[in-house]
Amino acid sequence: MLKKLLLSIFLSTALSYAVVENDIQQTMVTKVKSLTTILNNKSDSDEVRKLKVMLLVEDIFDYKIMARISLGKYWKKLTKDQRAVYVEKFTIKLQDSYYDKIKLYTNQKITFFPIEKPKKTRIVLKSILKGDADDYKITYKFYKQKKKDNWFIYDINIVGISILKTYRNQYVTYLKTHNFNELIDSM
Amino acid sequence: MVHTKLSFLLLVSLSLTFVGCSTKQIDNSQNINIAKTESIELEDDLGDEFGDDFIDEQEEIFDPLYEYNSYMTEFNDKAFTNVLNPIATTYADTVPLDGRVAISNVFKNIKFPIRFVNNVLQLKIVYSLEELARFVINTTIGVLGTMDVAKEHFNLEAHPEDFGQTLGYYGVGSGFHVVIPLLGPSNVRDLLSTNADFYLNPVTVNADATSTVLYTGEKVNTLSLHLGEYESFKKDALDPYTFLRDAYEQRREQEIKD
Repeated sequence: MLKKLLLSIFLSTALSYAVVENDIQQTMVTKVKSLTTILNNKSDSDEVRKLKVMLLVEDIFDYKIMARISLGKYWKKLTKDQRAVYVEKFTIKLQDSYYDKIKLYTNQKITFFPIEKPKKTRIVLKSILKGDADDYKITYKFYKQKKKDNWFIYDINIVGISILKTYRNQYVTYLKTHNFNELIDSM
Repeated sequence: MVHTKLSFLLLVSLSLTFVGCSTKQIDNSQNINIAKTESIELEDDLGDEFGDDFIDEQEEIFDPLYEYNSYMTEFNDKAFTNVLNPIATTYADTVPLDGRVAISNVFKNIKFPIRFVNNVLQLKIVYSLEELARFVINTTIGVLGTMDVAKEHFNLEAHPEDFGQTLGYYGVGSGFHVVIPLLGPSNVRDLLSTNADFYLNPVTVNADATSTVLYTGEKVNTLSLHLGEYESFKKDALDPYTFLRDAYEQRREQEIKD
């Protein structure tokens, strides 16, 4: 409880530092190294490790945009309060999901490729995670906020499966037959 | 011949790839809420920027086997959790990692004809030649395929292709979704293609008892190298079946493009 309080205070005052284009690859390489260290530190409890991981990615994951994309056309129909609730729930869900997957890979080697820029405001960073017997292709998609050289991750593609597309397909379909509150309850 | 193959498929009682799921209860006390406290102020036109990346399917997905598929997803999930996964876990505890990786390499090496033929069919000639080189190197220097020397020392990557991808490459649509008992998600195109690939796979070409044992063994071995992934993957699902259907189709689309 105290941890949560301290955390929200810290984060609400923290600068929204993001990564600039030239630093993307290096930043990711550094973060991956830190990630491995955090995950391998068995003296920390699972909760502490999760906290550290979330802090590590906090400045490059744009949860708000992801939450927004995940609802497709339904986002526009939500009130400001509903949006706030949804972003909160979705962020938690995404963090859970991300940490859960990250936990599985602790010793493997990750190789990053040079960034690709399909559009002025989009960067694609491909990587390969060398698993025990198979390699996993992981692609990070960055977008740029207007008028700043700030790049954030808005989607991660794991072996061809876009995490955000998956959520979006599910939620958009769900909202065809259910209302917003039911969606919140199910999350 | 087709009937034999179909009954062979059904005979394979312990193989699985994907299966269904249950939604996770969020325990808020364990979760770290670090959503920013300021109000959500996103320009409304921002969403349109992502229009290209995330196109909403306007048409309903054609899924005539929806009822059956949902049921089979649940069945497969139970079979996975109660039978296949425990077996693979025990197997993983018994057999050292190196051994299991070697076995995995051997099976992959044996499936060379599938990759070779389908790369040729897709006119990916350089890739097919690389596959050929890989096969020769790994079978000889790699000691009957136990070691992937071609990749480690010669930087020759595998180019996995199957007949379903070949058909997809030439524009054959996936048809509708079909969940196969025990084997998991598929679609009409891919299901019919497995027949072709079975002929090219030395392990399965004679649909007999030995094939079944080897095929099952390969699946167990593979799963033992990917423990925990399915469960982790499941957690993102709101509805197990549609989630897996979507994930499967996304992945196949990507594989066809590669």
